[in-house]
Amino acid sequence: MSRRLLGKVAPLGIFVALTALCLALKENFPFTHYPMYSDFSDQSYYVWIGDAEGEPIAIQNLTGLRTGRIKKVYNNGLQAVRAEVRRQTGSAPRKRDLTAEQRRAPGGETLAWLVGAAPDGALPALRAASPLRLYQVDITIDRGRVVESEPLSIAEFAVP
Amino acid sequence: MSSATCPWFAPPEIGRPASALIRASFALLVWHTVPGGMGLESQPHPVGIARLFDLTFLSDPGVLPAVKAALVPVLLLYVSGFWAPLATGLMLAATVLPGTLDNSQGSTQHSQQIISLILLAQFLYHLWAAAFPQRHPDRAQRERWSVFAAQQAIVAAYTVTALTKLLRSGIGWISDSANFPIQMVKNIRMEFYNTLQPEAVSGFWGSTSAFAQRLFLESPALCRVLLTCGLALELFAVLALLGRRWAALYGAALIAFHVLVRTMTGLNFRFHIAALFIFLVLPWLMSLRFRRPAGNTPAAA
Repeated sequence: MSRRLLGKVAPLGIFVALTALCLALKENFPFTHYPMYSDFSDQSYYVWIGDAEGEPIAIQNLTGLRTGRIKKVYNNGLQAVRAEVRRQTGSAPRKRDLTAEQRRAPGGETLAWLVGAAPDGALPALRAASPLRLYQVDITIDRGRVVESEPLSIAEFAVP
Repeated sequence: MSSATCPWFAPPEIGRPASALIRASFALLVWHTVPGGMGLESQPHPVGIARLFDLTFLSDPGVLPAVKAALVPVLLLYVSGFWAPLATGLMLAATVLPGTLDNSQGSTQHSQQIISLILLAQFLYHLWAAAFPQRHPDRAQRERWSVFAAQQAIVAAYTVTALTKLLRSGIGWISDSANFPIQMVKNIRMEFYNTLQPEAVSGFWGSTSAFAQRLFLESPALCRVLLTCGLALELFAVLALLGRRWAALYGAALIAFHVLVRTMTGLNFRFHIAALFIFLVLPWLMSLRFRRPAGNTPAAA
């Protein structure tokens, strides 16, 4: 790069440095590579929390924790399962192809995390709803329509 | 400066009143970013400095309220413009520590990093300016560069967003973006299950999202065009650094983009919108109010 061109872009040192750091360090606060919507799959899912009867709980009202955050914890668990399968077999299944058995442990860990992260004031209500259940609903597009699956019970957790 | 040596990118010309208003606005934003309490007693998936230090002490009763109380004089110092390395350093710590603990739970939040990135950029700039005082000896010059550092942090965040999309999905991102309605349904449903309020589905956000879903499902090409425009907006965000008017134009476009995404998905971008307004739009708005005499604005455009 010529010195003349360098002179024209030199004031952008912070921009260049932060861009490089965010891409290199990925998710290490305050750095992030903003992975949201970087991969538009033809399938996704959402989760919700149910009580012992399978009725949904307004989890944000009760704990302050949102379903989006709960899904991220669960999703990280699924990724760990995929990584473990890859380590054992040499190839990782897609998340959608994981069996109910393979989803159960991440689901249970997610519920345990939820109870641990909930404020103390929420615990009586969570105990009353116990065992908590994590439900997953798959979403796809089929012939120009968004199709949602029946809620699938992934795991349950007895609140101590 | 001759055209041969004049850089394409230069800090915006900002008067002292505008500079003070920008600092005051950002101080308020930082105040809202720092939580008054946290209930996180573990950090099962540590990120950033949580890999080195246990930050769960922040959840002890009284710690974060004390941090917020101590933040008041720090923010006032920041607004004053004096001792900028100290003020921005402490503000950076006040946002990074709780943000890191919050993101060490196995679920990454992306709403507040931009505030910490802005503070990091300003902190680094003021450290540099303190280390080499002969480079920017004039206080007004340092204030302009401080705003320029913040603008660069914001632009970096949007550029990274676009590059990550292209690095992960390549150009196929554009054709795959026709699957966006799936994400819209997901967000609206999760919003409903947060509170079980029917308004999440049938209220304003739910209704507008449902309308956009139908539109995009009937016309995937329209969906691709709209999302590709968003990608291009992010990818070429560096244009916002070409000057005050470019910054305002780009800032307004990005705010409109966020409002549109909010309308379609229900996702909230309030910290991004506030930062865009303060550092990209406000300098131009203030220039309309505090015009300088002609010939006294070396980098006005």
